[in-house]
Amino acid sequence: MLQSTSEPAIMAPRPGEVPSPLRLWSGRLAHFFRQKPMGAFGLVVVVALLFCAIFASVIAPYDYTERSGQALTGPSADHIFGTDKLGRDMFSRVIYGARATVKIGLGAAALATFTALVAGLTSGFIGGWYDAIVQRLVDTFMSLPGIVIVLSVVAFAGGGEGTTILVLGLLAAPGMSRVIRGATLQVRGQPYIEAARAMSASTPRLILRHTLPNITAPTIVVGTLAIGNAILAEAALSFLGFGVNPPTPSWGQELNASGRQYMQIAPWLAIFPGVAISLTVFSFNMLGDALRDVMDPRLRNT
Amino acid sequence: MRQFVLRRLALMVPTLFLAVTAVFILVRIIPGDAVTLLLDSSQYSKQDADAIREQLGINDSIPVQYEKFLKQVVTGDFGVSIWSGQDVMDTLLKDRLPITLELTFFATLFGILLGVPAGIVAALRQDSLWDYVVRTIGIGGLSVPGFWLATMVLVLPAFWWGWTLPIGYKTFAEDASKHVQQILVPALVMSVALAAVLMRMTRSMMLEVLRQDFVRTARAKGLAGRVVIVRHCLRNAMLPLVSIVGVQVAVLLAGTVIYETVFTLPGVGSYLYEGVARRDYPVVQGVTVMLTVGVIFLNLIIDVSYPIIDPRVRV
Amino acid sequence: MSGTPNYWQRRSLSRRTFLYGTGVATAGLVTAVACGGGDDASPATSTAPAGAGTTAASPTPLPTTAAAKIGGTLKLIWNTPDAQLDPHATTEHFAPELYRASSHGLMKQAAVTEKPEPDLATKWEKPDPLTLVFHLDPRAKWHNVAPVNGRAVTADDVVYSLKRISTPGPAAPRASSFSLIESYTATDKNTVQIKLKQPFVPILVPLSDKWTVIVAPEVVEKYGDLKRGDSIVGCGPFICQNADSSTGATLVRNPDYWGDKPYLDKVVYTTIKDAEARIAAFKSGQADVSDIVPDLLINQFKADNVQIYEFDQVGVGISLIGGPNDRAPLNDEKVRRAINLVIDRNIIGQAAFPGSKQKIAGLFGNPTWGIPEADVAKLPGYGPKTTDAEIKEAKDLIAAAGVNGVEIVCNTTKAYNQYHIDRAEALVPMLDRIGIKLKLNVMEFAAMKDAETKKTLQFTAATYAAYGDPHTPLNNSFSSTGTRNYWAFQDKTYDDMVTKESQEEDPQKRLQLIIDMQKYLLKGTPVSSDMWYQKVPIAVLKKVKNFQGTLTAGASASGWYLSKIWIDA
Repeated sequence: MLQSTSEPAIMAPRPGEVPSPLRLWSGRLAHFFRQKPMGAFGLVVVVALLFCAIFASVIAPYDYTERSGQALTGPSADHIFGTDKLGRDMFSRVIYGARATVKIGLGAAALATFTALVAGLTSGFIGGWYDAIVQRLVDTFMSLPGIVIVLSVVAFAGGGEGTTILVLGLLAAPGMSRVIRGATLQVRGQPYIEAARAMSASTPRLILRHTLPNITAPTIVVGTLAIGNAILAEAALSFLGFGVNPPTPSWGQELNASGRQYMQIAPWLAIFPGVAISLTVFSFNMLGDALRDVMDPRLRNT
Repeated sequence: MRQFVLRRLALMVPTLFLAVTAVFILVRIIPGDAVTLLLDSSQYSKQDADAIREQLGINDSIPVQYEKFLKQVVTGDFGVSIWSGQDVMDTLLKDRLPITLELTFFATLFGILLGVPAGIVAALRQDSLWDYVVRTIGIGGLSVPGFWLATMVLVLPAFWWGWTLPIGYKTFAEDASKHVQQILVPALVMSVALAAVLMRMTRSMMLEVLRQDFVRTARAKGLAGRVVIVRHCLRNAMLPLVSIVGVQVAVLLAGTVIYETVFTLPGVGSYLYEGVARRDYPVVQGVTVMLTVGVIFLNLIIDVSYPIIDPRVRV
Repeated sequence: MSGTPNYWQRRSLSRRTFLYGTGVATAGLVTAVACGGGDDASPATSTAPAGAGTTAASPTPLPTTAAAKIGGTLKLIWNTPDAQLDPHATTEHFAPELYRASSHGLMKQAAVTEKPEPDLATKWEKPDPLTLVFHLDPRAKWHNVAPVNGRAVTADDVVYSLKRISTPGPAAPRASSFSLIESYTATDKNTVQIKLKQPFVPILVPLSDKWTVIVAPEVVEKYGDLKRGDSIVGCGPFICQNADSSTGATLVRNPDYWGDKPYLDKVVYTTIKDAEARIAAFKSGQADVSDIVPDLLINQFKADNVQIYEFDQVGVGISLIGGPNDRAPLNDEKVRRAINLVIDRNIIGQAAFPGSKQKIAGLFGNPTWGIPEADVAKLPGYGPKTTDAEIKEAKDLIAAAGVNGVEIVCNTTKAYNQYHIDRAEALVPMLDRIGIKLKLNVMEFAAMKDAETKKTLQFTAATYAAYGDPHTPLNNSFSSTGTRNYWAFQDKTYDDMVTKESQEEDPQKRLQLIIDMQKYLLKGTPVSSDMWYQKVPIAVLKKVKNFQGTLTAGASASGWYLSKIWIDA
């Protein structure tokens, strides 16, 4: 989706100049902020999220299992997000909850993207029998009801972050692999691939060195979309009783365990985790959009 | 075209076969079976348990059960539910599927009616305030967990005004007004995500088309009514829109268990979910086969529609 | 009268399991329709219904309070879509609810104490410890619907039904409760004789529980099984018009009822799975009786037209924390004692039921059967708050056992209810204090049941439902042959106590034995118990009179009492 075609592609260095890396990247960043304010906003939020996840123990005023106050009190000086039904500080739980979000969101998206790349890239590039078989498997997987897969994996592997990442990654991978396969097919027909092949490049080299870099744009788009979807899906899984194991906090669990039940008398229990989820998903989507725009090949000079 | 359809139908067979076999195996290898749950709160010996398994037909070896299962797939008769004793296909087709179909249909309809016009307007007024507002609301719609929106819609009016949707499903025949409320409101909630996706996609496709030469030419020639431009653009945008709708419908068909729980609508999603949770093999098998066949046909229809919508596309 | 809240035992809502014990009946609320009950061996309570042999008042249409109005529809909520509706083949609760309103059993159970009471059997005798003789009400008739068409209920019907319940098979999951019965005989049209294989005092409990209803043979023949709602035919005050557990049921008054006719015209149950939706249904007037109200939300339910009752829970369920004693580290008794000491039962109670008024109990949270409060406080670890001395002692025990820093996996599941997870969650910091790392694993329900049965779980915080008489949980969960003995607890002394208790005819002596057994278990800690005496709030519209309780609080099958309820519209 193009905002305008008249701005110079930020990927191309100005002619004759060899800027230092720092200058190059800060220049690109400033450009990015100017051009794509929503994307920039998304980037800021994502960075804040990562910061919270990594430094949670420093930022959070209390431990997430500590009963530091009365149950269901509203936002106050001691507890800026209020307390939950057991008297635990909501602010701390939301901050620590960022960890689960980051792990699951990024983990599931990474797993899905990796699987999708392996399947889609090879399938699209190699073609023939291999492609037909892989696509049949992908089709099969996509037509299985997701709920059966979720229940089965959880029945085997119990609850917890690892299982959740596995399940969400598995569910997202087939759809993503189709997109990547489509992009691969498009790139495969390009002249530079032909040229590389003429220079006796081996198939793995063709795939990794020449094709992969050229499908980064759609990959990034579906990848960031997958992060947002994974975060929402984790909340949905919590509703069904699966997901992160307590007492580890996660935003989805907070919404379900106390947010829904005490909505009437303690709306803050739902508002803060809910806003956190929405803001995060929103930001990843915006960031993905913006990245796709700036990496769109049509903007390139090469 | 005919060849394409025939080839796809032929390919459907191995896919279907693989999918239902996968589910057949999956539901049997996960720990626990119906007898574990059946005798949950009572005393029983191992012999009792095995005798009961024998009577229920789940003690047979896997190949024997699989053979029976294949026959069931061919005849379409999946027997009776281990738990409720009711015929699986009967329950599925008479009680559960109508609810899910109605929900899916209306959710899709609302999604299209809300998303596409919003996307068109946002594209035509690109970068205006209106554009940003629509885009923000659109993304917002995508970022809220579905069960949360559903809960708010159901519970808040009850506390604020002492009124809420009629809870407790009634068919159209039993009580038309209740039925309409019970289907349309959840469908609206379910359509929010689809509307957001369609809005973004419509907007982006339209922007691309708007930029192209033939539109500028049409405008220059004075042919441009908004309507003409929109029609041109929409036709180009149709393909990806149709894909998205297709994917959404497939997702909705089996994935509505959360909405069904919150709104108390006994549809296909809950039937399948409870079937797996209770290890009710006939139910899981019957529903999965039906869903798989449905999704495969749906994909076929979507794929067939591509060349119809856009003659430039070749299958 | 209807406004007096009942001080009964607490419980909390769960899909399948129901917790604790019954409380002592307070006078007045339960109108004793049929008094008398022969020599049933239940312990004396403060309001034991009058002695032997008096039968129900003669069937004048509408007895009791002159103010009672006839007519109206009662709207109730049901909370789980049960799989099927055969009362003999299910271990769930909707079928008994419906059948207990539309039919009768040989006996039924009193509202709070769950003591066996007359139902179809107006009196019974025990000529010797191995024989029971029941005398049926000669007036009893089946509903005037095909295929029974209003014929009289006979002893043969009773024998048929009891045999149906007690013959092992997939359609009789509770058959083992009747395994000590040798034979059922219809000695004449209105008399049933039951012979036992060995003396067993609690045999009246399965014979009177809510699943043991009498059905007509021709109905079973006509429908093949009783799983579907269209086969609910009985001899009771209501006729079931339609029932489908995933949507609900409708009961209408039986115009030809042979006993005291009900006041209500109709009772409508609606199945609502989701807790928030149930609250919304009550708040919007779509239901007359609410689900259990979370204690912290009580103020949201108060209104001019709403009465909040506080009931005690029914049943003798138990709530346990622990794991198999044949696996490290719990195989070391010091470790188990240490865990028992640091469990702060008040905190766990508040974690599971925030805001609830609770008092710590022993094994049963049931004043009829539980250890008296004063004695509970004397047990180690059962004080109102974990003391520093207790923590120190626990740490020493852990050090002596040499397991400091050990990790234990606690398995739990949400399928029962959120509070299971909340309880387990609250344990984590408590055990952390003494150097045990507790990791929770929230499992899928059937997978958890499977692991439980195969005894592969290391540690759980779970509840086990039981009704009527404490023999069932005391035997099933703790005797060497008990099928729910997940603790690998093998203790000959205890087994002997169980046998003795099951054969003790004197109610007072038996009660004392039962209390002794509890103390024995709680001292030896094969597993720790966390149980409370609690009040369960239920909101009811004021226009509903004579409300006795619901499935979850006050009455284990409110179907028993529907005929006493009337609506003051």
